Amino acid sequence: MSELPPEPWSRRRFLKNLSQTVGALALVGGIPEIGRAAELTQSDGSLIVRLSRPQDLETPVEYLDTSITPNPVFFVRSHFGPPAITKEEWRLEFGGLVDNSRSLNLDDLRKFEIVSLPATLQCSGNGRAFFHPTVPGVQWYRGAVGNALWRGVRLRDVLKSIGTKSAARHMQMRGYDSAPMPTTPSFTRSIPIERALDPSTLLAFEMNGEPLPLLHGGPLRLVVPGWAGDHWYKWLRRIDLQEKEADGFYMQTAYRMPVQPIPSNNAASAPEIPVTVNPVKSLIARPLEGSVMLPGDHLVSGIAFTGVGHVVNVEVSLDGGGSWNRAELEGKESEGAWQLWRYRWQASAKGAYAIAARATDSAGRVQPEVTSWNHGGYLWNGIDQVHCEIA
Amino acid sequence: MGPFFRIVGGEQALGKTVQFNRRTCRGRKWFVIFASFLISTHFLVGTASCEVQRAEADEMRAHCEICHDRGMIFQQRLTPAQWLAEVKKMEKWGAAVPADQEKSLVDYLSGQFKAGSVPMAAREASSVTLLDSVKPLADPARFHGDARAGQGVFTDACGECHGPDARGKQGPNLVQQPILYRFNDFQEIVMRGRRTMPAFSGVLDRKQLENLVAWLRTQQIH
Repeated sequence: MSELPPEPWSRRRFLKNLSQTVGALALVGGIPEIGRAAELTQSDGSLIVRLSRPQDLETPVEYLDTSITPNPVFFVRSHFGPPAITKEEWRLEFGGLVDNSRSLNLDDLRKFEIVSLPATLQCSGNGRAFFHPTVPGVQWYRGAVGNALWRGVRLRDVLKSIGTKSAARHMQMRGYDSAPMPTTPSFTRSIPIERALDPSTLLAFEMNGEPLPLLHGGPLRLVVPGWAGDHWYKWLRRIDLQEKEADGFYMQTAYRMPVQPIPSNNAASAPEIPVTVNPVKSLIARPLEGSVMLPGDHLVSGIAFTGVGHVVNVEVSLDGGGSWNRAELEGKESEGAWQLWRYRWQASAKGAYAIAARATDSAGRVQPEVTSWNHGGYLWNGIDQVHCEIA
Repeated sequence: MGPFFRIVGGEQALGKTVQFNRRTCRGRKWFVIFASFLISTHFLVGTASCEVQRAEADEMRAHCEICHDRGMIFQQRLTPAQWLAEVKKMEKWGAAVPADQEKSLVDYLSGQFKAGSVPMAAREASSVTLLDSVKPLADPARFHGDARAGQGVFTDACGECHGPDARGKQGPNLVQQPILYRFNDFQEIVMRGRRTMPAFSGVLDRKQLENLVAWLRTQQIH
């Protein structure tokens, strides 16, 4: 199996991984803790700063070990940073091919049936740093992904009450955030009407039991389970129903992928379609990269998800992909949400190990070794690997 | 130390490439000082090389960091063709790179952050601190801004760079930005200056700043 390039460590990361090593040694063969994210309080937790202005913050992998990612360590992706808008000022306007143009506030929205669902939010650029040749953009490794309990109202219910015309094929979204220069294109996206009317598509005002935090799009964002994060529109201001896909850089140039795989670094104009559904993927949360552990029982664990359907199998390799062992999936499957998996590793032989994980979903799709190169570096789902040592 | 050293020694974690360059630059300086005992022309050549890097790093700061921090650049590892495409895209989006500086900027970026070189380690920070940094805060005691008076302050002191309607020109858009609800941070930036923005201490007083913020808060972009 080809080697993934290792993520360079900050001093803080080095110390963190070292402390796991010491902890594992102290256990003398015991099972390392699981659920580190669940122990977080408001006063701790750290994020990897890919960009501080605007904020692009990545979740360290050791927090990808609980069914719900706590808000303080949930990754943040910003195009332009949050707007200053109060809940009192906030309105969501509906226009275009609708029967009645409407302007709703949060109280108006709360009159529709309120629903909650768990769903995995993944930035379409998560794993961009693994593409070779390298591509421009925020160099996310593994942690531009999280799973949260979203609460809000079904977009379908709201659109039905407003009435959409039969010519409406796409739904364009605009936000309260604004570009730093008038010449910079605004962030706008559209989704096909079928996806807008899917009962799992929500206008969400709560995340993990809290009012939706500002950096996550508060007071209101779209939740599109199974689809990449660029559709989970933040700081929603306006929705327009229209015949065509939205124009603009972020719809017609960015967030598009070739229909068929293309040779690396070939920028020739292959036909492209918008990035939509998350491919099947698993990530390893334990052990941490570079761990040194004593012989004995160790837990290999992590998360797995897919865009459509659910994960049916996660396999773990202890020899860099030579042979595979079935891991145990935890909990009940829920379309669009991740599941935890774990594998009990009886490590008796000393030496260096390349641990890998690959997931298979209900449609039979399996994680590839390497994801097809694309110029935007989108939807990486190559088999995850960590290196550790039994000493 | 010149501007180049300030850039690489700022609050950002340093990439190996950048550290390497800082070392070579510094190393070259010592070598040059030593060599200057022997041949004075070496001193001149070595210093000129460092000066060029300083100028290019200044360019990067002037053109790129108006909209995003330097981390966006430091984490890229791109070919000259990719860097050129990025610079062209940013020029289209509003980065005012003078035509005669474009090539030197692309050369600098392609040399410092080149495809195939080792990527830098990103820093980690407390999530609470990061998330709090954009939260609106209560105004200080006795804060009272007069929006009408603030409009004049804006036109006289800010409009030239931030645009007549504060929506960005050479400096970034200020309308509906969280900084307007963090008065102490706002005051710090305006009075001390930041990056290419000059300091306004001695030009504006506290009362004028309060008025300025009050007027900016009345503006809406949508």
